[in-house]
Amino acid sequence: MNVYRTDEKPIWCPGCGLYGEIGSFVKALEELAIPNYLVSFVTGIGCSARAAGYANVYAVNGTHGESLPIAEGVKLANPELTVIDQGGDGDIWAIGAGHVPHAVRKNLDITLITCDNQVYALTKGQRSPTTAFFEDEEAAGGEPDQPLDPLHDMLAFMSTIKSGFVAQGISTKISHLAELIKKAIIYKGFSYVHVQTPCVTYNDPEWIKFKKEKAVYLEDGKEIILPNGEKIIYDSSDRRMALKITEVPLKERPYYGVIYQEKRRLIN
Amino acid sequence: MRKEITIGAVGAGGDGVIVLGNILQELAGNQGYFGITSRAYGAQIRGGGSSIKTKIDSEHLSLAEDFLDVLICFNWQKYFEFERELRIGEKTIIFCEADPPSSVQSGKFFRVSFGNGQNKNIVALGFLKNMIGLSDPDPRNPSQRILKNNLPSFMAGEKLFQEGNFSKLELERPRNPVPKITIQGNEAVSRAIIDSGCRFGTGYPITPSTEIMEFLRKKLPQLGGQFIQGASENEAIYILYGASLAGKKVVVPTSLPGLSRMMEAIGLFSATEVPLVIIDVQRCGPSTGIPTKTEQADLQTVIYGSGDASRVVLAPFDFESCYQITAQAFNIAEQFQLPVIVLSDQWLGQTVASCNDFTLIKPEIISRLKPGENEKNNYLRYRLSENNISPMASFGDEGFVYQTTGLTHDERGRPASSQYLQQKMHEKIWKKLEPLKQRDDLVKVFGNPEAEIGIITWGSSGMFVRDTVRKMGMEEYIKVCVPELIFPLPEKSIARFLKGVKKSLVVEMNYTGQFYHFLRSRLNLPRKTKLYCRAGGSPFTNEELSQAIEEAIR
Repeated sequence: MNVYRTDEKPIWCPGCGLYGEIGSFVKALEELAIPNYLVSFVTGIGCSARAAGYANVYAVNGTHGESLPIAEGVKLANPELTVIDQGGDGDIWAIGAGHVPHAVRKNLDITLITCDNQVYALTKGQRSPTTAFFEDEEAAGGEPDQPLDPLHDMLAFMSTIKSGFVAQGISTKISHLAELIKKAIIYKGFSYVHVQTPCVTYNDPEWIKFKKEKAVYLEDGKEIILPNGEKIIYDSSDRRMALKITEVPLKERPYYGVIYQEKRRLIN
Repeated sequence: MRKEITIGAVGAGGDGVIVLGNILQELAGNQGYFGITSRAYGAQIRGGGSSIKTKIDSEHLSLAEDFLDVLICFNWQKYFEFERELRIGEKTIIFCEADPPSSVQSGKFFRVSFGNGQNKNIVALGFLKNMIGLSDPDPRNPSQRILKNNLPSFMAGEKLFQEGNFSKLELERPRNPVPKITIQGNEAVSRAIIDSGCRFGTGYPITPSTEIMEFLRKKLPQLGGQFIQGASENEAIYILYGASLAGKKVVVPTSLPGLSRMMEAIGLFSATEVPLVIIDVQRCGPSTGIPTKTEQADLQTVIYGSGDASRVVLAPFDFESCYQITAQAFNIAEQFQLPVIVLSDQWLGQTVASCNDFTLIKPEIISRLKPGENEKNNYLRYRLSENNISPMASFGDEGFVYQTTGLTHDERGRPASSQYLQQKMHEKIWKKLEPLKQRDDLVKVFGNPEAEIGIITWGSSGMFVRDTVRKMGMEEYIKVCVPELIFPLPEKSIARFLKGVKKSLVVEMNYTGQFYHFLRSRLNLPRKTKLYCRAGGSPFTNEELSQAIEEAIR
């Protein structure tokens, strides 16, 4: 048995993207070899929040939308601890969104992970703030709200403090995601990892396939071509370049990798 | 020569009325007098009128009389905002800058010009000092530095009194001339927070609790602790949840609107058995109400809010009790691992008292039970034990890793949904409180134990009731019970108080009689029990309370 996993059997549906996400999380801890008692894992409410019961570290499964301040409290009280906060798109970006800019400006050394499946899955399929907007849905009487873009909004909040770390991964690519989580934990300051987490029950299989297959992987020094045809050599320390990436809507092209990181806070 | 005097002052914002009250009282307190200064502000927190009512007593701490002996009125228009607090009687002597309007029919008025400058409050202070015969201020005393810097104005006031040929209302020398400490209820609470060993606080500005937050912001970092101002009450309380899990003793001051936001968190602290102290300085509600005025209407919210969450509710009734009960709150929170709510109120919190220094006797400090070496690597955070209290590891402790959740959970803290555990865990969080109900020391009883008339009251109303009974000269016939522990109610102790009581009265300051209904749900009150309650907005007067008492004993 893995030291970072409890013997608890997850309540998630077979094939849920969250298995890959917790797998990546545990792999990151293993590779960083942080003793489990020095890790605090804080979650709120939702499918992804149940992970608190499956990670064999000091863990909290608290109340809806309130995990960020709890994580901050743990870190403030004991700065020696590695503190990771995890929630879903509803937990972090709907009910808990008011905490986000304040977590950014406190800039404590904690990592926030959002497991984004674009749906309220635990309560069976309601729209979330990241549910993609499709014209045909509106035509069919769907809600016309535009989704918010957590990557873009997070980058905007971080622009105000000229600091931060933003990455995006997908839970079906465990090794890649584990690397991102590791980098986020190593980063000294507030770091954010956005995880595309397929929901096998409520997501359209075509949408999951799109997010897996149409993605572009970012690497520093590697050339990428933006949807408007512009060619760039990627540099994750360049906030303006990062903004060009986050301005591309998810449904147009997903980008995975470290999108932005303030270099001077990285310690090898 | 007189034993006591009640002085009122009123003016527009900027007239410095509050400063006048504070320095007058400190001056008297330093010379050994007891004193109480209550403040009242207009509907606006800034920009409205303000008033003070100061009682100075040479023998003991007593509340102001309903009718003023002296009124300093800088502004008649503002006076009418505070008519109820600053009542003018036949014998009231009024010093005012303009003639009173014709609606003021009582009192004897003298026109006095305190000057046009910004120092008119200091001029009035010098004037009053001579009138009541206080000694000269001691310039070495740091609290009177403001006088040192404004000495010409102060002396001009002294001269103004002498040259006006006014008659003196001279106070007797204080019976015990030991200097008194001058302290607000909010400061007494704040000092107890520090003396209880708490070093982690959060807050969000809200009247009338903000003084506590400001105190903590300044003091905690000096002591190696931390204070965090939240972006909301939600953030403030949940930061405490994390900090308490990591081993800190934690506190947040607030008032009803903030408390209401914290209600979900209170459920989480209770269900997951995490120590917390909330200081609720009650104000007029519901909703925004009158932020600057007093009421006792949060009782039901804190007793019944958040489902069957176990919690403890304490209510100090005077300044010393603010200090002692706050210290008790930390000890109870730590010992029983749950949220403790201290119900203070605007009157208690913002009224300034000069009294004997009750902070000299430091409280005993109790800390949470931690797991022993034998539990290492085999730790059950919620182990069912005889006294229902399980040792609590701090996040970061080696060998005690556990998971906790607001979901119903098993002994390890893992989610569970069986009826068996739902029942068992309720028994755990409620039965652990049983020993508290035996805390007779948290039920204060005053007066003749044989008396057949009993008044039960709570919070700052306790001070007002006792003061009225004393002024009525009825201490021999009426006894007063003030439980400082409200929930869980020490029923046996109150039943003992009621033994032999033929007529009783419950007094509290809220519209619906919340404490009365709560008492009735817990124990049998005498058949002839009356209730006196009303909405807040102004402190109780001796007149209304003596009427209520007379009706109850009729």
